[in-house]
Amino acid sequence: MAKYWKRIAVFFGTAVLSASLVLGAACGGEGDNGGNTDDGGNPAVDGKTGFVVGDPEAVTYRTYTTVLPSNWNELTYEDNNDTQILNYLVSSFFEYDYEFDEAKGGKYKADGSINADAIVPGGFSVKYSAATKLEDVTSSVDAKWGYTDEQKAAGGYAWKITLREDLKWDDGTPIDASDFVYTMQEQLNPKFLNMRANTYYNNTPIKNARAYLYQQGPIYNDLVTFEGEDPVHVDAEPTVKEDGTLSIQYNGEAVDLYASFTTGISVFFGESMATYYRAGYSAYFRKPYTGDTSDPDALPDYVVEVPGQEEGDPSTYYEDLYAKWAAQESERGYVAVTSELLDDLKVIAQSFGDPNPTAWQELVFYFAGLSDSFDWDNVGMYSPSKYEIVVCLESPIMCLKEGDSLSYLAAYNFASLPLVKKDLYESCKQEPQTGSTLWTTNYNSSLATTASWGPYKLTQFQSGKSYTLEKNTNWYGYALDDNKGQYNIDAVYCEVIADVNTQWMSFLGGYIDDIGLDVAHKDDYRNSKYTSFAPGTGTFGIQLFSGLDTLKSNGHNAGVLAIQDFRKAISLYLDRDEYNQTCFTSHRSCYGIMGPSYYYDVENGGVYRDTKQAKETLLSVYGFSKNADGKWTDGTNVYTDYEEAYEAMNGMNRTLAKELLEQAYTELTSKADYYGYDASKKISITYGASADNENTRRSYDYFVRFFNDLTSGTSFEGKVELVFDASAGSGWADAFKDGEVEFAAGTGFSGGAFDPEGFLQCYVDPEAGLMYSENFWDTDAEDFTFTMPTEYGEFDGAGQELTMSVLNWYCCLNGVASTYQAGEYNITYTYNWGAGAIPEGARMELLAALEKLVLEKYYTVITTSEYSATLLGAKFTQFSEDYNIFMGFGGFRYMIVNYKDGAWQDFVGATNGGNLTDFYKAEN
Amino acid sequence: MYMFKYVLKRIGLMIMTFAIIMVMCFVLIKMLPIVVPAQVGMDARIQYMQLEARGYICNLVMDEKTNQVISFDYVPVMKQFWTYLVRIFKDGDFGIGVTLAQYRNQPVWDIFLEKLPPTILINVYSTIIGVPIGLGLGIFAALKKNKWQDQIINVVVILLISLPSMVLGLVIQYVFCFQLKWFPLTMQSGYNYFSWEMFRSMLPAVFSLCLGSIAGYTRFTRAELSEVLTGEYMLLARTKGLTRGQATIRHALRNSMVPIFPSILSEFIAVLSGSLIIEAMFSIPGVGGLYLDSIVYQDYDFFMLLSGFYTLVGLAAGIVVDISYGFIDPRIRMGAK
Amino acid sequence: MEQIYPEISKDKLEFAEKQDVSHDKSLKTKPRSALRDAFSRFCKNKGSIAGAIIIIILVLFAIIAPFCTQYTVAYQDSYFTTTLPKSHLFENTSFWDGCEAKESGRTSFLYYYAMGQETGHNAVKNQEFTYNEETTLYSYRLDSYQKNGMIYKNFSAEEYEALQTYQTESGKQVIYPMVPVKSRPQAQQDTNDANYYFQTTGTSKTSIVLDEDGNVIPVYASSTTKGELDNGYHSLRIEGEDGFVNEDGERVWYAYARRTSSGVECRINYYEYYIYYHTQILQDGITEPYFPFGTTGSGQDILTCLASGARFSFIFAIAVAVVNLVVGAIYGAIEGYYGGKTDLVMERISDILSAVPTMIIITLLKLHMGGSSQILVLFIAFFLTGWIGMASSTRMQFYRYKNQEYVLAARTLGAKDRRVIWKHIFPNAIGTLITGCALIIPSMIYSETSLSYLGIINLSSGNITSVGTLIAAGQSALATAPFITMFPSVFLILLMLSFNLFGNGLRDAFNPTLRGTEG
Repeated sequence: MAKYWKRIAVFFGTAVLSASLVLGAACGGEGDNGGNTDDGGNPAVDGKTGFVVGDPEAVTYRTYTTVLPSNWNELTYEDNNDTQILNYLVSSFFEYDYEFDEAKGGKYKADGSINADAIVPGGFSVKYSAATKLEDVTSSVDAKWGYTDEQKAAGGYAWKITLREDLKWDDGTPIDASDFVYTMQEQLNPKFLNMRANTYYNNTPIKNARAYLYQQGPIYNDLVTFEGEDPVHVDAEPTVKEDGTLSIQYNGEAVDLYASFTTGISVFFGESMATYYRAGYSAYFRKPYTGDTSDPDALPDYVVEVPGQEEGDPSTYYEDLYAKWAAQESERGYVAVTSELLDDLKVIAQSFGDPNPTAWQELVFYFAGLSDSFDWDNVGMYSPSKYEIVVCLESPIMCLKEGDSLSYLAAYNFASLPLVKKDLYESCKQEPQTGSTLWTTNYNSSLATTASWGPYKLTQFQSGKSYTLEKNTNWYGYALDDNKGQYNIDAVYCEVIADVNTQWMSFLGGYIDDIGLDVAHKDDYRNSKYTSFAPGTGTFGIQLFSGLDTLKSNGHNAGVLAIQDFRKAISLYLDRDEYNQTCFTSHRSCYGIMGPSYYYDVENGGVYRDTKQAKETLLSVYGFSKNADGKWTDGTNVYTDYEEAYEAMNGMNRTLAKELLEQAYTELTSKADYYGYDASKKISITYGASADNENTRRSYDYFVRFFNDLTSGTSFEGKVELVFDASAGSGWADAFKDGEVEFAAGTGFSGGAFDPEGFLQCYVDPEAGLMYSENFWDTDAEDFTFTMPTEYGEFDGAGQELTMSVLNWYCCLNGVASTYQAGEYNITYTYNWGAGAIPEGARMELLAALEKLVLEKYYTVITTSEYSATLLGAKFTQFSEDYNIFMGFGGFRYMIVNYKDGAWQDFVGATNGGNLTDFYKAEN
Repeated sequence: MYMFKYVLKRIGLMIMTFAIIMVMCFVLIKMLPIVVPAQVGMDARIQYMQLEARGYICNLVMDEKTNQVISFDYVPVMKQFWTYLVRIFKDGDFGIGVTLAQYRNQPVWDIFLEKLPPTILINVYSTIIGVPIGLGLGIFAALKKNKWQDQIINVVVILLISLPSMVLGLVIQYVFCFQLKWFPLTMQSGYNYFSWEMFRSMLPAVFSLCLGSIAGYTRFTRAELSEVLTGEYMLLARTKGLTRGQATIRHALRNSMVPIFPSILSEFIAVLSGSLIIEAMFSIPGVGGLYLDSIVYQDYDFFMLLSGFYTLVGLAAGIVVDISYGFIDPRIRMGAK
Repeated sequence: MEQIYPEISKDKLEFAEKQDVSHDKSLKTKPRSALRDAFSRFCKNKGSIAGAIIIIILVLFAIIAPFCTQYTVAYQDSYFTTTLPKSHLFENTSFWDGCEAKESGRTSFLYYYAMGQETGHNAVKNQEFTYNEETTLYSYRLDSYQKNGMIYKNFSAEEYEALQTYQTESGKQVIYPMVPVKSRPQAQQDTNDANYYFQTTGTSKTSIVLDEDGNVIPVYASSTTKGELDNGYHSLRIEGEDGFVNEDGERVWYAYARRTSSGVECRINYYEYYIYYHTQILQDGITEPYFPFGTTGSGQDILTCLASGARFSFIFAIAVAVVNLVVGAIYGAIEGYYGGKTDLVMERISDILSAVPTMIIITLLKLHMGGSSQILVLFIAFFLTGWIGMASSTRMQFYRYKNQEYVLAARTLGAKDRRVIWKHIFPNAIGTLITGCALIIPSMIYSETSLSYLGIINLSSGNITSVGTLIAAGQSALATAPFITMFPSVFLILLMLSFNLFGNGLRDAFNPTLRGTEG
């Protein structure tokens, strides 16, 4: 008997042994990197109640997350999930605060508590926090930053920030301006390619930041500029330099000439010479100059006989020419122009039949002077003294109002600069692995590698499980009198709870203090006094691919999408309320690019959607028209004014939609080959989706029914089919841009609630890389005529009727015209109508006009805007009931504490045996 | 001696199989196209240059002017595999997380080692509780074949097996943790895995797992044992004068161990992959979801380490099982002609 | 020595016929084939009979149920979601009546209570409720079929006209008085809620204004000339109102619609409109909202989905089981019987195949095959790992019986390998195989549940669904609407139970060692 068991025991032994072996290694292994080896470090749990045993007098805010952040390093954080720790560890130079009405006794009552009823509803103020002074030094900075005189006059380009002198890290090490400069240098370090580097050349564009990051090589610009249609040539002769290459006098200085056969030139509309030749335009290149060659003096001296070239003989002369020179191009695609190359260029120019002797200039670039490696002192950020930082920007930000008080822009665009702890950061640098050249860092990714200069510091972190933040006693902010009576929360404990049911049980058991209200629990807690609803800025809709040449070539026979009437019919036939009710559960219908929570005049709470211009924009987009007598009509009813019409507008006008459909049909069938329409085949529009799951399928089914209703009773009946395709996976956005899928529903953008003008970049600015229509709507080539309003005050360009490209309008509206002009866009006007530069009303009118232009293209049919709801436990109360655009409901700083930890445990224990399900349903 | 030679041959074969599987895994994961999701406010160019610097793509052609990617091609798979092997054998570095949101730029080996203990502990506890009860019930049911006890045990076992683990876990969590408050809802954080508090916080998860395994063992043991009990040699054993208990233990149980033993061992392998649903439900920082995420997000280093580990353990367990047959049932010479 | 027992008289002794003393019983029963013998033994075991019966019931359910419900799998509704199970038999009991016991604060309660007051369709069952002073909560039974109450809907002129004629003919009121836009709740999340037909205040959250004796104050749109605002509404009016005198003495009519750019917007009772829409417009055989098993979170009827899901799961499982059985058994037999080098090589091949992460194979297949053929992806996924399990168990059996005495005897008698495999070893292995195979179906459904829970496969494309998809769909609302997962789980339990009993019965029946023992 015993023998037998022994064998089994042996086996068991091995199993347990091997388990413990791995375990041992694990324990041993993890000992060192766990960081919080002391037992006291991680919160012990009280057996009976399941609460974290801590000091009963302390106040801990317990929350949950589904995914822990991987790193809260300001330079590399990726998604907003990473910011949940980052927001507590950093401070900002300027901070928002409520606006307290002095007449009602200002911010504090006699006993020092906050005087809530003195708050001006919707008001806000911007206060100094980590900085003490902000000055506009555009006119006094070094000339090397190249600010022109009128830029110096306008101001807003270069700023000097004076820091507080008592800034310290959480371990007491002092902070000064050199730390900020060191951090910016690391942010833009080319070896690391940190993810957030683009913030400092896209959003707050620092001079030459991008060039430093990409160690960019030389910039080549077209020698020839364009005045409208006709090119402006340089009236100078090229001179041969000692190394045989040519240079030319170009507004005052000799510039080296370069040519390129593989990169795009504006004269060929962005195509390169080689592709232009190969793309079927070679017919031009085969024909020799057909001018009168018999009369020698009639023959301009530059004409060179094309060797071996007879009428119609497809010689490979040009092909070899390109091959010869393309081979000599530098790895960036350029070759220096020598006299021999110049002769070839003349032959190419001449084959266009352009008699102008300097036509070759249209094929050349000039070197715009940036050196190959780019050292730090060319980047527009330095510290003149221990506590002062100077930042030189490419485009202006109006941080100060008149009288040098801080405007909201200071706290919105320029709140802070990244800051890392120098010694810790250096120790966290990781060499590139073999086979890779990328340096990486794990700074701010675990307890041992974290440093904080914000209100809280990290005291416990377990990857994939939980983290704890406690008050950072070395934070300068606690001493500020502005923060008296605030920051009453001592610690934040956050745990990963991925399962929805566990989240709700934890909340209803009192273990966590907040939770998002999902559809399953909406009916129970919708009217509870602990629920608060916050409007989101997201607006979503349907993207319709309308690029004709791709539509013709991708074999879906969907050329009809290029017809605006067809797209407009889709927009006018869609019942948005029904669509949102079927496919989204908690969102509302929306008709404009900007949802209800966008402000055009942030100072005095001007909501864009409520303005007359915004309403009239939507009326004209959705089938209303204005009669002579100021009344509006939708084809059947007549409304007295725009308000009444706006109330009756629900984005639908089905009779008009059917008419438009018929017009589209006649247009399509009359020019069938132009649209590549094959009447025998069905029009198959592909519905692109990121995944094949229940939600995408429900939306797809909805639109199949929608197309059947839309086309029933019209000549399109039975001819249009919608095909589901989710093969692109998370790359569906690129699939749409390349035209592989033509119909993308539930897509859109969010953010920019205080800068609707900037938000337009998602629809008109190719540089931002977000435009769904970038491959078929060239906003740089399409002109738009608009008269700037005069009734809001005097400004540069007021009252003038201007015609410029849509992109040019966008650049002027956001004050970035001069930066874009350096690029290869034809920015003719460089007005600076950015925020703060001209009256808000005027900007709003231009914004409404641009929104109307974008919507009436019907490349995007807007359908939905979002809002979210959260429940806050009884342990805390929000500071204010109404949602303030800057302070939310008062946020963490003003949170009112009802129970300390110990009192809260007793309270929960006493309520229905620790089950708060009914307690949280109470409404008053 | 025969057994020793057999084991050596098997280990040699194992290494060969392991190598083939690793190459296949590497090629399969690399076949999935690389996707760079353009997010609002992000410069896609940086992401592509990062991929180039990490050695995944090469000759990236960027359009200087419009800052858009014109074209790039993938570094040949075998070259990438070679660099991967060199990195492992020369520097012993298993790489860092790239696309897994929670572990970006963190060493793969340390993360895996830090997350392994909770999964192993949960499953070892559930096996320690599950196997004896399962075997006991199985034997009892087999002995009482077709009597009312057998039918009851059978029905209860089927109920436990067929209930989806999410429903089972929720019922246990709702009753014991939320209503009765005997245990905390989620596992306690910290690394002191052997403290009493931590053990108590793991118990609900252990129960959810072991109910499933108890049911499995009971059914399996009953099936095997009842088949063996009908063998002639049992009759012989009784006629030789062994008591019913002795005969069952000495002969029946031993003979039925042949199929039972691999199920215990395969349970052990399943241990290491962890139960994704139970770990999500009781928020256990284990390796449960890691493997699936590494495939969905195509994090190459994580994926290679995890598939390497699981394949190795799977193959090693296969050998141990084959060898154990020899011990348990001498008549079976594994692999004999 | 022959005088041994003189007392025994001669006539006591009879001459015993040599054949009488026979040690075998006479073969009274007819010869029975192995199958009959197995079947009789199978019937002996009551458990397996029960199992077989349950299986038949489940199969019948899967075949018949879809024909006797008014819904199809593709049916979906965006308002009747997570509606509770309801059966006409239990209408007035509080079990299976489509209502849930509810406790809520004053505003939520009044929101539902006012619905019944306006239309008679009581969201609060029979308008009965109790108020608990101390917790300030009302408790009542909320009817999940009526809790949608009213919705705003856009109609074209023709649809508006058709609805009015239906109302007048059928006498069922669908359209109710309209609420003007300016008196709707200001809180963003409630502006489009048609059930607020009374005065409300509050911008971030809505609270209800009551008059002195605690009733809601209706704020219907009204106009001095009848039909001025609602394009001449000529159908039923609430409680037969035909104009009334308002507080400042004018004779006023309620407006029943609001003019919009696409025709009119009306305030309609969704329960009645559902009946109108399905009986008059779609005419798809649905007469009223009636879901015996309730509806899922996305509005599908659980009874229909479960039945057709079961049908799909059965067919799919049987197909997978058959393929796995055939391939696995052959592979395992060869492997087990020949042993030695072939065993090692074949074992390695199956090792490699089983070690390849199926997750990757599925992702790759999905990517290359596009979204449509999910079933093929699922089939390949189960096939890849399924047959290996079968092969290893067959191999195990062969090793077990390979060196048994009778096999050696058969081989010495000159039986060729093929005969030994089929005639001698395979019948013995059949017991375990059958049991294993019997369990494939439930375990296939079980793993398919986790696959759809993890989002790897999605069968709800087109009108295919499976038991696994249903369980996964109910998981997120497990605490609030457990019935969604309960019905498919009960089905799965019955399936596992029956297949197990059936499997045990089969194993005993085909167990060669038991042959003839119980006779």
